[in-house]
Amino acid sequence: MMGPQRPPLPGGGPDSPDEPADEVDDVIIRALQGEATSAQLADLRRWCGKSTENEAHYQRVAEVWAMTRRAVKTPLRSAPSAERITVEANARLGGTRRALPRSEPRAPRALLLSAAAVAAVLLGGFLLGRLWTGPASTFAATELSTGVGEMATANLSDGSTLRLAPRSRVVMEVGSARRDVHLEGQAFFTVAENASVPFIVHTAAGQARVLGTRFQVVAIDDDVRVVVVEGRVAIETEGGQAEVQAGESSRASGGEAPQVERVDDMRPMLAWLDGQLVFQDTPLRDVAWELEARFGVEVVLPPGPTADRVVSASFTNEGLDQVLSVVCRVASVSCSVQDSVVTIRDPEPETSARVTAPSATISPVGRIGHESLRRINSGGGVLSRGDGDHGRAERGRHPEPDRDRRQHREHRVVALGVPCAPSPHRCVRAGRAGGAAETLRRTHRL
Amino acid sequence: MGDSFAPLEDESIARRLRAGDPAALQSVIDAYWAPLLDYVQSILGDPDEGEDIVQEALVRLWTKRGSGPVDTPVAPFLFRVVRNLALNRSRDLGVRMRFALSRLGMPVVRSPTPADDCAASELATAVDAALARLPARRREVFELSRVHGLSYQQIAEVLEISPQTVANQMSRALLDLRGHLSAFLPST
Repeated sequence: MMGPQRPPLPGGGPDSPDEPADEVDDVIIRALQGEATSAQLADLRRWCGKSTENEAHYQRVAEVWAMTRRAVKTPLRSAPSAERITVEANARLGGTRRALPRSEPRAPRALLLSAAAVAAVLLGGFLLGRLWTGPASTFAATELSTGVGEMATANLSDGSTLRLAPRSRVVMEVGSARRDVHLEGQAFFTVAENASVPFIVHTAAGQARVLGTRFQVVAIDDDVRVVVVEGRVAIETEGGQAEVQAGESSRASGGEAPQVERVDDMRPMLAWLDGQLVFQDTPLRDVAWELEARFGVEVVLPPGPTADRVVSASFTNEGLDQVLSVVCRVASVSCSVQDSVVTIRDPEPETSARVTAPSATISPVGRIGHESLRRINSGGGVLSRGDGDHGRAERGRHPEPDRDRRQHREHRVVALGVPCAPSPHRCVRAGRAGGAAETLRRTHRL
Repeated sequence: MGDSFAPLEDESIARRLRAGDPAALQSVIDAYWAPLLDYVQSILGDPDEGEDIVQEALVRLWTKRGSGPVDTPVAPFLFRVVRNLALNRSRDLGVRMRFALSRLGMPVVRSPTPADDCAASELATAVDAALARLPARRREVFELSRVHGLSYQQIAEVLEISPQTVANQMSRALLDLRGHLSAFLPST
C-alpha cells in the first residue's frame, strides 16, 4: 500500500524503536493535524510539487484523514451543573455523605398518624435478593438522593432498608423514638418490626403508615401511589384514608381520598428494582416520568387524550433510543429526540405505511393500534406484533419466529429509511481535506 | 465541536479554577461533557455507560484543583482520569455482557443530523470496520486525535506515552487505514 517513491524529507528520522511507518506520512499527518512546524510545511509543499505521484499520495492520506473524522456524539443527557459537581466534591472533602442538590424538599403535611407494628421481611428471593446489588450504607438521619439513572440502597439504623429509584430523594429521620421518611419520587421499603415506633413515609400528598413489611411508594408532585407487596399500609391524605393490603395498590392525587385497587401482577411496578423498565397498560404520562427519571431527558407530551394512551412493554438495558422506538410504536405516536428533549406528537390521522419517511422519526407502520405491539421478554430484544387480542403474547413467552422476523425487518426499514447517496463519494467529498472534515460527521453505530 | 480545545486551555481558566470559580468549572463542564462521555463510551463499547465516570472526573478536577496535577491544560487530566476509570469499569465482565445484550436490541430513533446521510452508507461501515481492525492502542491514539482533536502532546499525556510514540502510531494508523479503505480511495 505504499505510495510511489518519495525522497525522504530532510530533518532526519527519530531513533525510536517504534518508528513511524513513513517519514513523509508523519509530516503529512502532522500537517493535517496542525502540528507541523512551518519548516515542515514548506518541505511538504516542495515535496508535493515535485511530482504528481507525490501530490496524489498526499491526497490519499488526506482523504483517509477526512473520512475517518468522526464528530463527538451528542450525549442523551445534558451536562451537569457546576453546582452539582462542587457540592459532590465538598461533600467528599468533608467526609460526609453525598447529597446532590435537588428540588427543595416539600414541607410534609401535618397529618395524624399512629403507631403500628411491622413484621420483618422475608418473602423469598423474588425481589429481596436483588435489592442488594448496590453498595449499601448505614444511616441514622440523613438524606439520600439519586440522579438520573442512579439507584441507591439505604440500611436504616432500625434494620429497615429502602431502595431509591432514579431521580428520587428521601430524608430519613430514623432513631429509637421516631421513624420518619420524607420521600419525593419512588422508593421500595422493607420495614423492620417495631411495635412502639411507627414507620411513616411522608409525601406531598399524604402519608403511608406502615402496618406491614414491604411496599413501594411513588410520590410525584401531589400524586402518591402505594403498592404493597406484603403486609398492610395505611394511607392518609387530606381527603381521607384507606388501608392497602398485600396485592393492592392505592393512588391519590391532589389530596383526594386514596382509591384502592387490586393488582394482579405487580412485577411491572417493581421492575425498576431489577433495573428493568416495565410498562403494563401504563399511560404515556407515567411513561414520560419514568423516561425522564431514567434517562434525564425532558418529555413533552401533546395536550389532549394522547397522554392517556397506554403502553405495555418491558426493557432491561436498552438505551433511550431503543426504549423510545418501541414505546412510540406501541402507543402509535411519533417521537423525536433533540437536545435531551423528547417530543411526542399525536399520530397522523392517516396511519398508513410511512416507512419511507426521510428522517429517523418513528411513525406508525400499518394499522397498528396501541397495545397491538408488544415487547416480549426484553432479554431477547425482539418486538412482536400482534393483531388485537389474538396476537398478544404473554409475558415471558416468545413470539412466533416468522412474525418476529417480519417485525424486525419493518423496524429496520424505519430506522434506516434515510435517503443515502448511492455513491459514498458524496460523503467522502464533503469531508475532503483542508478543514472541511467537519462536514463528514459520521456517527457511530446508530 | 471544533478541532481543538485550545480556547479553553488558557491561563485564565486554570487560574480561575484554582481560585475556585464555579463559572470556570461550568465552562469546563460544558466544553468537555460530550467529548468525555463519547470517549468513555468508546472504551466501554456501550452507548449508555459512562456518565458517572465523567462526573467523577469532574469532581476530581474540582477537589484537586489546588494541588499539582491540574495545571494549565485541563484536557489531558480529564481524559486521563476518565480513561483510567473506564478501564477499571471495563474489567467488569458484566459491562461487556450487557453491551452484547444491548446490541441485540432494537434500532434507534434520533433526530436526523447531517451525519445520518452517511451513517448507513457503505463507506461508514467500511470505516468502522477499518478502525476496528487497528490494534487497540493505535486506535486509541487515532481516535483521540480524530474524534477529540487532542494534540500529540495532549494524547501523550493522556496515555502516558511519549509524543514520538503518538506520532508513530498516527502514521501507522493512517497506513493501516489506507490499506483497509483502498476501495474507497482514488486509485493512483
